[in-house]
Amino acid sequence: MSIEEDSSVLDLAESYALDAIATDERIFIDRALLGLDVTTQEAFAQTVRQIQETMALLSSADSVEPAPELRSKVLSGLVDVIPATVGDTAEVIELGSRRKVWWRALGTVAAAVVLIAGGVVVGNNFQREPAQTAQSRSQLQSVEMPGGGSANLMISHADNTAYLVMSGIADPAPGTVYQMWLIPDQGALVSAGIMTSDDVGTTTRATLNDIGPYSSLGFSVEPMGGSAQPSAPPFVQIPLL
Amino acid sequence: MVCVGLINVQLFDHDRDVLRVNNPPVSPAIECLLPTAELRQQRVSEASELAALLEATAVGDQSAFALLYDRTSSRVYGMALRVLRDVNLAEDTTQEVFLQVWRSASNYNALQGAPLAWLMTIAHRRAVDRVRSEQSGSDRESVYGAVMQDSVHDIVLESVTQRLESEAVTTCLKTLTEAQWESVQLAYYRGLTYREVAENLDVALPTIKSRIRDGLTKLKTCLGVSL
Repeated sequence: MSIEEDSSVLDLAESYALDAIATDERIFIDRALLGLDVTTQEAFAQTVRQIQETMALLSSADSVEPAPELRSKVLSGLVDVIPATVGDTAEVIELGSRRKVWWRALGTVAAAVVLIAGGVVVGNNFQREPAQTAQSRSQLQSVEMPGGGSANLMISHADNTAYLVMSGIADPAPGTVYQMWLIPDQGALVSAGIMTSDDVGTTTRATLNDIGPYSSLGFSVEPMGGSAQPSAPPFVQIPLL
Repeated sequence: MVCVGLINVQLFDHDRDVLRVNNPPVSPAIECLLPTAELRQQRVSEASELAALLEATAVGDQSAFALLYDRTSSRVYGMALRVLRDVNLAEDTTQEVFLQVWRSASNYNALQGAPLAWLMTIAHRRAVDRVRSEQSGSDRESVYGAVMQDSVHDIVLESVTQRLESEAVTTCLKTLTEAQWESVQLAYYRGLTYREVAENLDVALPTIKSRIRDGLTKLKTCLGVSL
């Protein structure tokens, strides 16, 4: 398989993103890309990404509800397969030996950018009841933040962990940070980390471990470096139910 | 809203054969800005929700995974059905896709795009691999009509995001010329390579490449995708 002399690899980025390239030609392109300069590689990757985003949006217009039996089939099929950690190839292991992956320490915040669109989030209108499965003690909490934006907290009681994803929240005012607090029914609040304006991106994520003893997650505005206890009551609280 | 009058086009007509596609002519009114602020907000909101679900899925949370399935399965299945044109094959593929998502949720990297794009890329790749391996062509053609006619009635837009997105897609598809959309459809929904598209239409390769490229550029711009 060869590519015509007059066609640059870059011209094929769209077809590549549509999976409209035969396997051997795809391998050829992957190899050819390695020999190109970084700018061209990035341009190719960006086009592929954009087209993949675009085609993913088209799926809304094509959506067809699958048979309910498929849901049971998919969910019951999980029993023998555990999720791979990053870099692992797929493997089949009994659930009993499932490994727990704690890839972020308490309170550390990784700012990540969801590249699809900017803007402020207004909330969620399509909440469903959480699915009933063996581990039904998991809950997705979605709240609107007072200053704009939204926070989604996937609470996994089985793992004693909550995954926070915030979108569209405003940067903290200059000289201040957002501080997260784990709040028990009674007793002192425990700091769960701070977010500086550097941490707050279009999407901001955090993993909170050992949430067991606490009933909610709160946010307060604190001076740089954070505080031992909140200087004012948290401006928003998300229940850890 | 400026675009309201343009929204009621029969995009949902899965029975439409790609070779008989009949897009209305491009209207100047289409220049109106899409997506709306509301849709952009919904996208960000949905992306953040799906990212949270993927993160929990990555450490083996089955409830999160089930929720992820509920939020996205109709889009995966709908696309698979459109590519594979067979309920059983589409169900098999959907199951494979979600199994792959379960196994590899930790590979999702928000820096490389939205969760839905990650998921649909996996799904489309699977569907295309399947359709190419099943490529005893005529078998699929014969079941297509019956299957698709039935499925048209099952279309469910699960969320506000999907409804708004679907309207935007419908409107934006009209920015493509008929020839551009034909090539994109043959590639994306038929699983043809761009070379096969060229052979199929008996059109020169560079022409097909530019039809696909120009068509997708229009679609991308109209839908407001910019990374």
